[in-house]
Formats: sequence, C-alpha cells, structure tokens
Amino acid sequence: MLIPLGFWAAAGAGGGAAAGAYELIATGIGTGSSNQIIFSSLPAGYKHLQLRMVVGSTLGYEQGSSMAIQFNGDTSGNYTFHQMAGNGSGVNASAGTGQDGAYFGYISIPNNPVSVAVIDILDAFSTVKNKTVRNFNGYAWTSQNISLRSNLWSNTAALTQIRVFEANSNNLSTRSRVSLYGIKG
Amino acid sequence: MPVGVSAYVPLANLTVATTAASVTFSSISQSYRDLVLVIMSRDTTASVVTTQFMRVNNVSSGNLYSNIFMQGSSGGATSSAQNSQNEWGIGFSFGSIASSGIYATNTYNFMDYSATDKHKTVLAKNDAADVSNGGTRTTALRYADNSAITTINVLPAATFAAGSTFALYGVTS
Repeated sequence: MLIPLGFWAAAGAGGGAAAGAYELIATGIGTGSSNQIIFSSLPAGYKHLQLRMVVGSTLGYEQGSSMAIQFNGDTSGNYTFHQMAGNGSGVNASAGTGQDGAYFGYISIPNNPVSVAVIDILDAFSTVKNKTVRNFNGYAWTSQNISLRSNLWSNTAALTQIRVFEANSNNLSTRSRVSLYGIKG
Repeated sequence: MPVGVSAYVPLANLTVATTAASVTFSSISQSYRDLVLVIMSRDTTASVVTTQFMRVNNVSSGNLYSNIFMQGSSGGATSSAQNSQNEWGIGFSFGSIASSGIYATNTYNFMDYSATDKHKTVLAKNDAADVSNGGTRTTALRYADNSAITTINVLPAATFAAGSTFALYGVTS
C-alpha cells in the first residue's frame, strides 16, 4: 500500500495548519564555539514544554559524555533523578539527589551527531509545583544506550530560562540543534 | 515561525481495510524538522505477538540499520542490540491468535530526518500489552547514511490485518 505524500505534504507545509495546542517556540543551533544553548524569556500561554534535540560536540574523536539541563540559572544541588538504562547487554537502574542539573548521557562522534532526546517538562509555569522532567534519550553506535529518566527540580518558580549544555564543556557542533515546543492546556 | 500555528502537522493517515502486504510513505515533504509515525497494528501471522519491520528510502541492503532496545516483559527487564542489519525489526504487532480487538502500538520519532549532514537516529516506543504476552520496549535506531529520509517502508511478518492504522506527522522546525 503506497501513500504518496506530495500533495499531503504541500497542504500541510508552510505554516498552513490551523492554530493548535503544540507550537514551536524556538530552535537553537550549535555554533561550534559554545557548549550551550539557552532559551530565555519563555513566553506565557503554555502549560507544558517539550525539548527535541540532536546533539554532538566538536571533539575530533569518539567519546561518551553528558548533556545537562538547568532551569532559571539554578546551578545548585536542587535536582533529583531516577533512571533506567539499557546498553545492549543489560538494564540498570539508578537514582541520585543533590545534582546541579538534569543530566543525561550522549556520545560524541566526529561530524556526526547521533544522540537524540525528547524531553517533557510538565506544568512548566506552575508556581505551586516543583518541576518534573521526563527524559527519553538514546543513541545506537558501536556503543549504544537507551534511557528513560525522570528529574525533579525542587523549585516552585515558573520557568523563565532553560539552559541546555554539554556537561564537560565541549562545544556543541554546528550539526547540533535543540528545539523548544510549547503545549497548551 | 508564526505564533499560534500548530507545529505538529498531520501528513497522512491510513487504516487497513482488509490486509496489506506493506505500508509505504513516499515523497515525504522535507519541510519539517522531525517526523512522528504512530502505528497500531495486527498481523495475520498465526501467533500472539510478532515482529514489525521497517526500512527507509526503500533501502534493504548495505547493512545500514542498527538498534538498541530496553524491554520489560513477564520475563523481566532486558536489553539487546542489533548492528549492521538490512532493516529494523523491533516493532510489535499482535498476531491472528491474539485476543480480538487488541493492537500493538508503535511510535517512532525520526529526528532531523531531512538533514543531509548526519546519520538518522530514531527514538521509538513499542508496546504489545497482553495478559501474558508481549512487552514494553524503548528503542534507539540508527540509519547509517546521511541521505534525507524521503520514504518510510513498514513491513509485517506476514500481512497487516484489517484495522491496523498508520499516522504520519511532521514536526515543524
């Protein structure tokens, strides 16, 4: 059964879709000279946020590393996590408190960012709830990893800023991108 | 990006009327950042649960497909990886002897599918929820080629059964 999409795609492209509950807020592209992408002055009108990303660094060799997220400039130990992860051989679970960000693993491959993540931030603008982050990320290379992670930011402030950064200070490659979407509720 | 415009755009929607030997989305617009493919499927294979396969761009050679998954089932939590295959075989379909009216669910996020400067990585959730069969699976897949994805081929173990649905969405950049 063949579904030719030329017509369908033309009808849906170019922003012709009606207003909906899921909207692009901004996309950040790696510069090659910075390890971070920051979304600030987050707009009102959304209930939840979603980050979608493909990331790699400018390292000239293959290396496992970590990405992290911080909210509202908070670099203190106000983040907690639970994780389950598979590496092709087995599944392990872990947890931690007092973290200085919401971390997740990625692999840097020269000129080929293959690590991806879809991250949900629930009730991002609530002023009565601590913030819960749901992280789904992975990569399939000669080494591989698939991970489900939940993070808690112990702060009831509404989000005003999201910093996404390479946790070992390696610069994000120009083939990296992080897109932020707002979900209305 | 105009404010107030949906970033999640339906591109195609198919319900299998009788059976289908395969389902192919072709000439996919390159105007989006990601694709999301949502499948609910049954297969005519005489089993309770069976495998659903996938290729892109009609490519079935060259050993370009790899994946890693983590799965929970009645057998416990396991992880497995398959490298350098000629297709991905990690999706679920319920087979013909499964209870009627139940369909396996598979959601695939094709990240940066239209890029031509990187391999393509897909994040997937595959679930076959039955009382004593199936499992829940989270998966990362890679297509080891920089070509943009213009076609997605979804393949059954035997044929897709009536009522199986396939919905493709574009996520705006």
